[in-house]
Amino acid sequence: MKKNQKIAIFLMCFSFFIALWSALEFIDQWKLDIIVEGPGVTRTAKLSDYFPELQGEYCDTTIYFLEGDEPGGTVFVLGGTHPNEPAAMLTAVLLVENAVVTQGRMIIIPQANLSGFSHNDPQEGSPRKIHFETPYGIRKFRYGSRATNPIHQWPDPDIYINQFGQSLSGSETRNLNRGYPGTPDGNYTEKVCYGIMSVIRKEECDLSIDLHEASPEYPVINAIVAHERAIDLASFAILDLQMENLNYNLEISPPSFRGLTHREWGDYSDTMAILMETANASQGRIRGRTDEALVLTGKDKMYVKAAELGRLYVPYDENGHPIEERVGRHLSAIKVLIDNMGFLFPDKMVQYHGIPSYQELLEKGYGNYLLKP
Amino acid sequence: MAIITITYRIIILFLTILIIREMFKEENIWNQLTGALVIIPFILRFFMIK
Repeated sequence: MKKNQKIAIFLMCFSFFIALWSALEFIDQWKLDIIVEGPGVTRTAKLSDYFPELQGEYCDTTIYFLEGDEPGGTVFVLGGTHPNEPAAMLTAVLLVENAVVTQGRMIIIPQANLSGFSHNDPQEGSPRKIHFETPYGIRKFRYGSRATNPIHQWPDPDIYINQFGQSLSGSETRNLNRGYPGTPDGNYTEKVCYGIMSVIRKEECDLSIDLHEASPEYPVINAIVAHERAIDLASFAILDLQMENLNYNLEISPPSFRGLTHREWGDYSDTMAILMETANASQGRIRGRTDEALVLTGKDKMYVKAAELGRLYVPYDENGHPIEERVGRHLSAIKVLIDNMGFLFPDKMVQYHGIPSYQELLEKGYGNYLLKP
Repeated sequence: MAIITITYRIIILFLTILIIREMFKEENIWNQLTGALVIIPFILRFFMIK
């Protein structure tokens, strides 16, 4: 055997070894996160129960029902639309594991775009997992990608033309928050949108909340975006939040910005549609080192510098924006929205307990509210 | 599986075989190394892992 052939065999073995090593890491990201059914969960369902075509698909995410004994309103909470915005998913998980509803119903999907959790974005350097210390050990969750995994939906078009004829960049075809109201014969992501729309319509949800995070340099941040039918409710909620020293901007859902939850949920069902944002440095463009610590603490000297230069839309200092603060903001906003819905529409009252306050979450830490699997 | 995906995987397999063949014919070690690096993502794509 010639020398170059021996080298070729060695290099081929090297390539296969690297490919195998990488494959094991990528496949590990496919394993589902553990979400424990808390004392308030009365039943669960799958998205395919509302849109059977999703049965057997990776995206067939779990729906948790928290139902009270007395009739009242129905609140729908969606986390994990964008799996690289962890406070959204973690807020929904905390509700599933802690909230108890005594009147009305709460329907929660913690991982809306389940496919997006099965990978993360190339060239972003994102951590694959985030870990929390709990009284009984470590719990971990995946940190995913903004979009559906290309192994589930492929190829991207050069230009994504949404259901309303609007042109978006090709990769937005895998963005769950651009595909509403969805269509049963659409692409993979649009089918998930259709399934979620079916949940809202069939369960006659009165209030639907889509949880998000945004880069600190993005204008719509620490904000509540409301469909026009939810403006009164959102306005009351923002006043209540200001009394808790939690400042929010109120944004009205732009009628021409199609495919998003705050627009299409309201237009294609009777629900009051709300979208909420907190500040997440780990998805920002000017962040420094991207690791698990950045996701969990939000501490980043580049953002401190940017804040000093007046380039951000949120205050930013050396203390960052820890995950407890971001989840706490979402929880506080959800609570005041639910309370104000009962105030504005007494027949849609939802009563609950078990949800920690903003201060409690800051003091005790997120891990203290996670149950033992 | 969509026909486009099957076609795509056949193309990847064909290119991977060509590159491996070229690695055995190539005398320059740097070109062999380049081939070795190129087939890593091809393998992952062929098996639809990434």
